[in-house]
Amino acid sequence: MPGPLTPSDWLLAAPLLWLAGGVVAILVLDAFRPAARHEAGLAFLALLGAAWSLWPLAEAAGEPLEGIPGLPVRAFSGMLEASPGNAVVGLLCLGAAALAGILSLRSLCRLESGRHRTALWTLLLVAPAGMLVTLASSHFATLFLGIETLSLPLYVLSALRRTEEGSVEAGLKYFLLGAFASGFLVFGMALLYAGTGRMDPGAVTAALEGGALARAGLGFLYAGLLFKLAIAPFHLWVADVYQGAPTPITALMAAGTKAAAALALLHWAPPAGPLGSGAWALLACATLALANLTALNQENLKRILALSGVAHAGLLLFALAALQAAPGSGASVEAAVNFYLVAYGVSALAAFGALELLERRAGGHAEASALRGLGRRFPVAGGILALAVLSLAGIPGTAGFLGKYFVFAELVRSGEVGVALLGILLTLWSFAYYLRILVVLYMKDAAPAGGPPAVQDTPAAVALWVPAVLVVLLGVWPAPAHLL
Amino acid sequence: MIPTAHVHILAALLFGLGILGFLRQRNAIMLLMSVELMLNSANLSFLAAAREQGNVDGAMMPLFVLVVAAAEAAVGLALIIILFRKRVSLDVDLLRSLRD
Repeated sequence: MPGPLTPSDWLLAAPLLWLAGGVVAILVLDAFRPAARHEAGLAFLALLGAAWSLWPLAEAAGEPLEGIPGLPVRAFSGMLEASPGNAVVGLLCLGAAALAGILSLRSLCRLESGRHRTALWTLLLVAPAGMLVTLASSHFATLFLGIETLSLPLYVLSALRRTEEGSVEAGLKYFLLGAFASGFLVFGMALLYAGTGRMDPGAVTAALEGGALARAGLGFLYAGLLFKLAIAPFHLWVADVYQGAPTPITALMAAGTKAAAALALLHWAPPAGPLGSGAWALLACATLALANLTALNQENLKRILALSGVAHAGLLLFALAALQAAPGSGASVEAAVNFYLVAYGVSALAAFGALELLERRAGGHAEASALRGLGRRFPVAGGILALAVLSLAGIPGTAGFLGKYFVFAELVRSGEVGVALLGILLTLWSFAYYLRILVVLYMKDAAPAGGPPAVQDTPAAVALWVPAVLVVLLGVWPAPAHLL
Repeated sequence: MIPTAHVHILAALLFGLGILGFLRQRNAIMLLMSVELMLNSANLSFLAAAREQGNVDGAMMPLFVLVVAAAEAAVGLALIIILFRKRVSLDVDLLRSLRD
């Protein structure tokens, strides 16, 4: 029975209350003083408040869990459950929203003389709130509400440049396919509940021992989750949506949505089932291979980076395979996944952020032909993009390398050496298209400057240093984060 | 009383109809309606299961699903209106500007 709110309820609810409070404050102030430019300030205040209230939990990351009473934190009669490592990923989601906001200050905020400002800033607060709920969900209700709360704002944000064909198309495609996937998710939940009578992650275990109804439900549930995580064969929307959406929003989707969906999948993964680790490893290899194959033929840098995100999500499934092969390894696999998500998140933020700045110099185009040689003309943005690409590829010394290393180390420890070798080979294959980005940036003659000259964007240029520094810092000194 | 299994069968049929509609229809509004059908078939299953299990967990979910479906309809129709203003057509097969 639900009792009075406990401290752990507040610990998990406080970030959500900050974000929701920010949304309400912006909307109320907008109703009374539509001319005032308060949205950005209030939104950053809410994001800072949320990060501040999440910090005590994140700070405990890396300490032995036995020493801290009440961890992992359960809240609201077990509907939410988070650990310090998850809180660090939550901080990443908040940071992604903040960076998307800063990148929008000089671009999206000025669309149609600022008419979209209220929508932009409120939705930029709602999306991370959904991510925080999703990554801590341990009940069907919170899983469903979290995923929808993060998706609905992103549908709208993708279509925010509503005068541009690509942006509207991206929003509508994302919406239609996302809603279709939600249907699978909810129907899967209904069947699981009908078959097992439970709505917590225990339903997954019970379903594996139960009848056909519950097993079918499990299939539908995973189809819905794998769509959100963009695993093959549910990855076809990613390239289109990432290409059409405004680049700051793409950065938020790449870092935040992926992290939230991956942690949700980890929470709801079966402990050890009849399918075993083979199914996850097969999905992972298929996703990596398909993403690599498609990415090699792309001209648009945003599409290449989107498919790189698909490959990274596929790599995460190796961690699930390791969990299946060695069921006792839950804590260390979760630590590896958390580090991987943070490493990929900061690399993706740096990559898409730098790409946004370069894109503006190229007249809003992200094709390889428009961006060629820009790395030499704009050394800072080009350098950060190159660094992020090296990290996504997994060059030693960057965060991306260690993220992949920890995942493959878990796989080897669980005894799946063959799968690990195959995964490493597939990763090496992906170097081809990462190298191509570097070649485009540095080895080609510069394209003639197209379009009107870009506005000087100091806030974005400064904010980009944060993920860039984190990419290097986590790559050479993972101690604070690698025990998440 | 109608047996629970019968309700599940009806729900599965409606869900299948929703999938079929989503895959076969080309009009954006019909796609939206197919998705609503899928969500509501899940609601039916939830309610039938809740009656059988005798707890309120399953009876509570349709409330959330209904609210989310309403929000989805609002966002979806807004996007469809923008599309219609640009194209004067709701055919989703015309969404082809994003490709390589």
